[in-house]
Amino acid sequence: MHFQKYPTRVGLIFFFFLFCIILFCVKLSLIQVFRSDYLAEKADKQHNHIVELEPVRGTIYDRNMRSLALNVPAYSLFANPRSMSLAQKDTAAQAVAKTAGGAAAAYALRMAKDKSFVWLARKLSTEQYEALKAQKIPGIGFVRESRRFYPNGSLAAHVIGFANIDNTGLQGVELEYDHYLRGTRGVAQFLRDARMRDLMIEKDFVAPKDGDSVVLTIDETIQFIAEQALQKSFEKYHALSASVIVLDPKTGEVLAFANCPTFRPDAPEASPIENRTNRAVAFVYEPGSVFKIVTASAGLEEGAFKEEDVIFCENGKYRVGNHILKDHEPEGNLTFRQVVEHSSNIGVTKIAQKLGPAKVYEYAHRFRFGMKTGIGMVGEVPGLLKPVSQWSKTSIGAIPIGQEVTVTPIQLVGAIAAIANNGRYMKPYYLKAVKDPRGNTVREFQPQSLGEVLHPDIARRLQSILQGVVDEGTATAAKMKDITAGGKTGTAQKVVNGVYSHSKFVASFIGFAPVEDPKLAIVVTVDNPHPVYYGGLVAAPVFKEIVEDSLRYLASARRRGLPGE
Amino acid sequence: MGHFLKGMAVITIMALLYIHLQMNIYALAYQGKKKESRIEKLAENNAAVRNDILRLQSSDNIGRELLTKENSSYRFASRRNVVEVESGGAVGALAAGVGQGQDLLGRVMTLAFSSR
Repeated sequence: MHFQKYPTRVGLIFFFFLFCIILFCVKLSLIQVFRSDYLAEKADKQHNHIVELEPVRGTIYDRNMRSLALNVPAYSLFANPRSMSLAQKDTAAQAVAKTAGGAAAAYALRMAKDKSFVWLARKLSTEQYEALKAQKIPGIGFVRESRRFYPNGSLAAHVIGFANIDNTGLQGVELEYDHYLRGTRGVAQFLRDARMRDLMIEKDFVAPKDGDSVVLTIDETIQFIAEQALQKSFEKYHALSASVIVLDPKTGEVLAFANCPTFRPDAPEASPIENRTNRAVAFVYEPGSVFKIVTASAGLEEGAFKEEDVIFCENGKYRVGNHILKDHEPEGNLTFRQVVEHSSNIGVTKIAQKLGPAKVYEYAHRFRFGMKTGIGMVGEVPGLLKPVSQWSKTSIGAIPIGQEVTVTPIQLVGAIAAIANNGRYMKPYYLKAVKDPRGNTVREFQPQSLGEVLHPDIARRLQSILQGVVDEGTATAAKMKDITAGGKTGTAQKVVNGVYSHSKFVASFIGFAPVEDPKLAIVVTVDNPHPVYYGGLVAAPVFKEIVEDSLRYLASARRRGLPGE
Repeated sequence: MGHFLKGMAVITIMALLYIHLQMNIYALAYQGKKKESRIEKLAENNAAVRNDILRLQSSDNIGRELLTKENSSYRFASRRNVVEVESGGAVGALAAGVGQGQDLLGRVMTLAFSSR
């Protein structure tokens, strides 16, 4: 009845509703058909959260499985500028600057960006994290990451190296074995609610593969002993730099490896870049008298000399080519043994002259001078050993006494270790094993012999002569009550503006102990010590201190059956 | 009409059941997240304590505390400072007990020392 009574009104209402229905259908079509992909993608982004899972970086252990470097949790601070008002951004900038350091203006600048995520500070310390969390600043949040932790501070810094804020190795073991340590990232896809909170509902999960751990040959305790002894000498003699390496002569394992000055691996930027230079493999210098072991070895091995053969040392002055060679103290007749014990330049030159340049070069080459030792450290240099064709008329009076030749400390300790090991040269190495996160050995590194430098009998005779250097010669400062030792001192003039300096020296000592069963081979080099500069007075006492404490420690550890002994 | 209404009722009940289950899943997810936060916090505290222990028992720390401090009388024990005791008997039993304690201490400290 109403339809007949009010046909216009009914018609209008009908067409109005029809129009609305058509409008809804059109809108639905637009959403469901034409914009479905875009809206689905947007919804997917809102509801699904893909998270990269950071692997735990492998640990670096010493030979007794004591941690030298490991990963610890660390929180990084971010802000969501889009959700923050100007006042909140200002508050946040002030609070972060006060707690984490840095300028408030810099933080404010980052939050001025039209983004939903900006980093404010990476890898905060626990105290900073707790302090910022307690303030409950709106608009900021924390992401759990990890950072490197070095429990021993700067101990073995030049061996361990350091990693950057993203846990990528930049120097040392952290760099050289980064492919073992870094692991593989995983990925997880979580659901998020309307407030963008992650829920514990995984849609997809690829587990991260944690990094493998590396076990070094370094002994943490011997490393500490060596660093303390070296630091004392470095400070006492106001040196420019100093290095020490301790090897096991029987295996070539590096037990300690240190340079002064050093740096902290957890804050490398706080030290000058020079402090991070690994001088023990990268610093070349003219070794001076320590190089005389090469000539002495050649003299005995070739049968040209016996220990008691007499050599006339020209009372301290001897012409070689157009150069006058001098001894530190004028000597007349010395036996071969005494030439080495007293470190006579003239005596050693006469031995070299009898052998000839080719033989001297051959034995220097046998001891691996002029080439890398192959220890595997980044930055190792080969030093300089001129081929005989480039020797001048005076070279026969220079090279045998350690001039016109440059070496690195690692080369010197490799050479003295060969003598201590009865003539067999063991390749120095510092990586013992690689273990997976469960502790299973993935790879093991074995001692490697690089050949016989000297016949064992000759090596033993030379050991006895070098013991004389410590007992009665130039290295009496290295003599110990209960422990026998052999070695050679060196006091090498530095070249300044192309001329040998009379005031700048490199003091060195290479030695091994005990003589009857060498357990340690050591090189100590101190660059520009003063006012005292002799190797026997500056470097030899460092050797003594390291040997005494290290052998006592090793004996004690053996008695107590500690691992690794 | 009756069948239609019954069908609609069944579908409605099943849909409500499904929604109830989904809500329970989300509720459990929220609870799990809270527990995960607590576990993470505990793990972090554990890691912090462990790192402190590692730092304290490191050779660097022990060496500096015991050996390098001024007036420190601690030194590495030489052969003259250590007396080997035969096992067995009263002295041996005492030494074994001391040795066990020292093993535990030794494993933490790793350095042998004796006072002058």
